[in-house]
Amino acid sequence: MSIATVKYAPVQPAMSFYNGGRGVTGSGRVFRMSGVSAEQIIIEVGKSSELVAAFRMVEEAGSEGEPKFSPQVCRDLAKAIACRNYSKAVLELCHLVRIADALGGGAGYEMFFWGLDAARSSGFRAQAIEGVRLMGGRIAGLNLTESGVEAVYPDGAFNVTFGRMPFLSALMEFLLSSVGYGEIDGVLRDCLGPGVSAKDISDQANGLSRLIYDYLKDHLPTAQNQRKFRRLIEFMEQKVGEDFGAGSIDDDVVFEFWRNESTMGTADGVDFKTFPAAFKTFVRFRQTLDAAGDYQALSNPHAIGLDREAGEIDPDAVYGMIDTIDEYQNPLLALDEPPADAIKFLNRRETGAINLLFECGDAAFALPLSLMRCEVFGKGQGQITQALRRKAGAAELGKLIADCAPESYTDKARELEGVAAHIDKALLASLHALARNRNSAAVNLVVTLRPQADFTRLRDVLAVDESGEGNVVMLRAASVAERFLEVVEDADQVGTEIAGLMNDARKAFRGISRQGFSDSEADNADIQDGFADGAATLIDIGAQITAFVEFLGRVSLPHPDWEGQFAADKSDFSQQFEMLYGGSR
Amino acid sequence: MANWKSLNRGQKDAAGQVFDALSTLDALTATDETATDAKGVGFSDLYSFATDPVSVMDDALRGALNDNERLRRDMDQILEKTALYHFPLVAAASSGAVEERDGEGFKIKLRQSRAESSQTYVMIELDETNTSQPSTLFVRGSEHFYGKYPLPEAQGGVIQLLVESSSDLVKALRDVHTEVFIR
Repeated sequence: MSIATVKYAPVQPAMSFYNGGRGVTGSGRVFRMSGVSAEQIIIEVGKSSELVAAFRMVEEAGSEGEPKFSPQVCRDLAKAIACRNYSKAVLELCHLVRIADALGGGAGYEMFFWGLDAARSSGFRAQAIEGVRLMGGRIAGLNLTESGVEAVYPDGAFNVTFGRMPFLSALMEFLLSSVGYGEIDGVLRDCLGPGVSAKDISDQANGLSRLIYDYLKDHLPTAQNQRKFRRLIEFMEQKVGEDFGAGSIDDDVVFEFWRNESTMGTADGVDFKTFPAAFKTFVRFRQTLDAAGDYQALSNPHAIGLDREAGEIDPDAVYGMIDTIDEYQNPLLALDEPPADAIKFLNRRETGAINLLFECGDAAFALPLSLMRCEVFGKGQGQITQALRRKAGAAELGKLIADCAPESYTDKARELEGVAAHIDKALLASLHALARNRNSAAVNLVVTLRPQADFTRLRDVLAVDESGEGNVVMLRAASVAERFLEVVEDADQVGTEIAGLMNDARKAFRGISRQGFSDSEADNADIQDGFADGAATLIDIGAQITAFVEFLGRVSLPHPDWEGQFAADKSDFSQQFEMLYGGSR
Repeated sequence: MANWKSLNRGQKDAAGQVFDALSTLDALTATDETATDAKGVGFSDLYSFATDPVSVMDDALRGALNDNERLRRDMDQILEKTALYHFPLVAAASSGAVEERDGEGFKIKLRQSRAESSQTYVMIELDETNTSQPSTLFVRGSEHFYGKYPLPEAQGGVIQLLVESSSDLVKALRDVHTEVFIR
């Protein structure tokens, strides 16, 4: 890591005028919790914990350590819940329940949803084909199509795609964990049986949506989030003035906010005791402000959604905005999706090392020091709270508070570099796996890995006399790829640089002993697709890590370099941790 | 990039809703560092217990059913829905031990073994018209007790089990408060 220059002011001491949005009387601090009683807050927190527990059931569903739902499906479900954007999915689910019941041949729709260990579109497709086969090749009211199953009604038809079924299955799992099987089944059973029309299904879907609406109204942590939002606005107004925007949020703001808020307690249900909680909230706040220009569309009266009088915004519009903000997570999630999930590109440690970077997206580049503080001192704070939970002795607690960081900023940067280096190696290994199977995705990978290579020698190799009359022409694209891969390891034909790359690729492949990286596995067609998709995703991941590590070297810090910054921050964090936890000794 | 001051009321409300949704998303997807490896019990566990012959009642499922009334209701409903036959509670008039339960297509009898008095035969008689082949017997007793017993093949229309007279199965079948499901 290169030495950074001092540019902005050192961290200020805790603000004297800001008190976390609470009122102050002559006798001391009083809580002004927007008229909310402590009892109400306890109920709120309990309810939202129930919601989180119900969602955990979806994440944890599965057998023998294999999750039933992929991380992407779980995240999509979380977004749908958070944005209350479920009405269309509920309608699809009601049609799917009818389809599932018909395919089950009397075993009940539950068999379709819970008969599979893993909820993947391929599994649902296989179940549907088998269901139709067992029923003699034809089921009245159902049409098996290439992409899904169509439910046919007297007044119309509805197609549910196989690709959508994992999400709908996760939604079903969530509904049973939250609202309960009894109530949900009570609605769904009216979707079954003869004589049901598309209109009936639509009516049942509306009934189900109302059940979900009522449940979420009681369980979503909206009130807590609104209090949190107000606290952030009040802080920014006092710190920066009313004219603040996303660009006003810097590392200094985040640290100062945490120093003030961390000692305030959680009496109003809002908790900023940990630095990661404060940092991640500011990342979300920044993203919210960053998108402020688009709120014109959201606040358009024509876009008003479910409860106009309550001022609710169209859930579709909110979902679209959240989905855009959340796109930074996609590359990491994509590695856990078929076909890439068949290959262990990144292990748990490597994923853990880069998770926060991808959670933050662009904000990582706006708040680099905060991100590093979160990684380093956030871990230290985690160790302290764990020690408190297991009632560690005073000496151990004192040492954890004094040390307060299991690694330095330099260590963290090296860790990121290490993951980037592993990704380079995994890309090389992927190249070997693809090239040995003449997979055309290898060609793109060669160009990506060696963009500056001299490809001019290939002109002769890839030019052939197709007519046999001396008319040399270039091959078609597919043939070019095939021909290229035939000769790619031959230095005489492709040059030493490309041949050397292939040699490195072979070594890299041999040097990785993880799922997917063996000759026998790599030659499997599904694994080939996994290498092709996974490599494309890894390129994005690697680029993001490398860009951030390079950026760290250019960041203007309050102290001369990252080592000096770490030393100063260690003192500040230790002091704050002493204030927060020292009394427990 | 718009500043907070420049947003109108509607836009500020919209910003609040986006922030709320993002914060909820984080709350739902956050890794719970205090969580243990123990998995929660959900509907898939109930369904597996009710339909998968090899799925057994483990401590986690037993504990969850004991503690959670809604899970018990869900379990009862899925047992009822997936059963070939459900013997509801015995009529209230029965005060003592139940030795026989009559159902449509099925009959359950308890008979003490003559050879070994500490053992009891549980006999499930299938009606001649009954073409289904039951594989599992479930009992849902008082005190939130759920028992699951694999059934051997029927011989001459009768499925027979020889069990200890003091076993949970016999106790449950004799209890008027026990519901029986055959799958």
